[in-house]
Amino acid sequence: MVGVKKKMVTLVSSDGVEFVVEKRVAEQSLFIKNALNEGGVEEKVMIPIPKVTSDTLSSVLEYCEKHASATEFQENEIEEWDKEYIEKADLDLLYYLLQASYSMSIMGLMELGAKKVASLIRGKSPQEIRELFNIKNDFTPEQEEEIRREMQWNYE
Amino acid sequence: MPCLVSAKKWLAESEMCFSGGIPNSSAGCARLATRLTPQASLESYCPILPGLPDDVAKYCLALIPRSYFPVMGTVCKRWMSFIQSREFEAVRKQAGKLEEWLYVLTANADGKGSHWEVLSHFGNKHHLLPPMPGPVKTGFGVVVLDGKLLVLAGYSVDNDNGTECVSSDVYQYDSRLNRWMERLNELERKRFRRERMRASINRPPTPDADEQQAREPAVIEIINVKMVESGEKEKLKELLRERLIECGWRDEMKALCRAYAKKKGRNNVTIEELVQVITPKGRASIPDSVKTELLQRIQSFLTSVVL
Repeated sequence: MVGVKKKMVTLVSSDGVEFVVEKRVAEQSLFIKNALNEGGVEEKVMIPIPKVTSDTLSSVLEYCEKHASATEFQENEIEEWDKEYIEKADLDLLYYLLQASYSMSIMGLMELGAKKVASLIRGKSPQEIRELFNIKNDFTPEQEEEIRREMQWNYE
Repeated sequence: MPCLVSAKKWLAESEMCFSGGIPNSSAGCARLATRLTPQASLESYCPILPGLPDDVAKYCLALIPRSYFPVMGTVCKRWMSFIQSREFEAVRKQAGKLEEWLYVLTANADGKGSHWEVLSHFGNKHHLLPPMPGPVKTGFGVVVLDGKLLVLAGYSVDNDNGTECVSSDVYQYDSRLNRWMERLNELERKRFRRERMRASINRPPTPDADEQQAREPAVIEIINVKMVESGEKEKLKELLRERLIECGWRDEMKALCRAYAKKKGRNNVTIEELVQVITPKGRASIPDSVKTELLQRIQSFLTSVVL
């Protein structure tokens, strides 16, 4: 029906930027959903999202908007969209998205991000993994050699 | 050579859900790293993926197929210990990534020696395990616990002069890291010896006492003692009895005995003779479903004992 006002909520990013979104979009986050349920029905709802910057939040909300209306799309359409969405995120954004989805409890997004991280680890050498994810190698060369010898991978 | 042994590994649940492991409120926020740089993390605390909460990082690692674990295990100590941990298995289970494995000990094509193979329920691919460490062994016990294949005791064979001697070695194959290691500390060794001595006293008579039977693996006996002590053995016996009656095995054996007695003449048959004749047939005709059920019961019992 035209003219029916949709329920809106305002999310405030850590750097103070306000995002006005539909309630059903915001509720893709269990964190917000719980917050709304606890707060009861109010006319003007402002929810601070600590530790999520405006850049990240806008990307997160893009995801939420798509998935809030997931029923309007074919399943494979959503899958394709997800793939493209996460594909264009660089490692920094990927980390921010994972952190945000974790703190805001958006399981779908977290799963999507985690899969992407897993795909980045797959097929890389230990050194490549360390470089990409900034991990310090705390094995001594002898230990590393020993492990490598013991772990000869016989699988195809 | 040891007989063909198979053991079931963990079951997989294909559910994509991990709500249990992830706090959905501000508790998560508090721990969240604010910056991506590793300097942001505390020095004493080593994150799995610098910049990500460990819960998220653990989930990421759990999504990676098993064949990459050995490589991942060499990234750093934190990764290695996580991959070997029970928690990793739990997270993988939540992520629906646990597979069921069937370990099969197979003779080599040339007829000399043997090797372990793994059949997984994902397709018909099978893997070869690396060769078992230590001297060539025979007559060992096998059990799968906590994602690891344990090969226990038996007899080691000296290839040069063909002599055999009893071995108390336990080797463990870690399916996650694809490596064998010896696992037995002094305490375990002592307990092992003690229980073995006790076990050999209670050992049940074997009906056909040929050489192969006479040197059964000692660990089976340890397990036997554990089973008797806890009363689990009686329960298993009762269960087996019930199942064998249910599936008609008992009646079949009865009929075999009768037929044999008739053939030989009722007065010429001794109990010993009957046991000798019927035992192989009896062993061979126990339905697989009954064996599987008992194997699973024993397995869960062993898991509870070891935990």
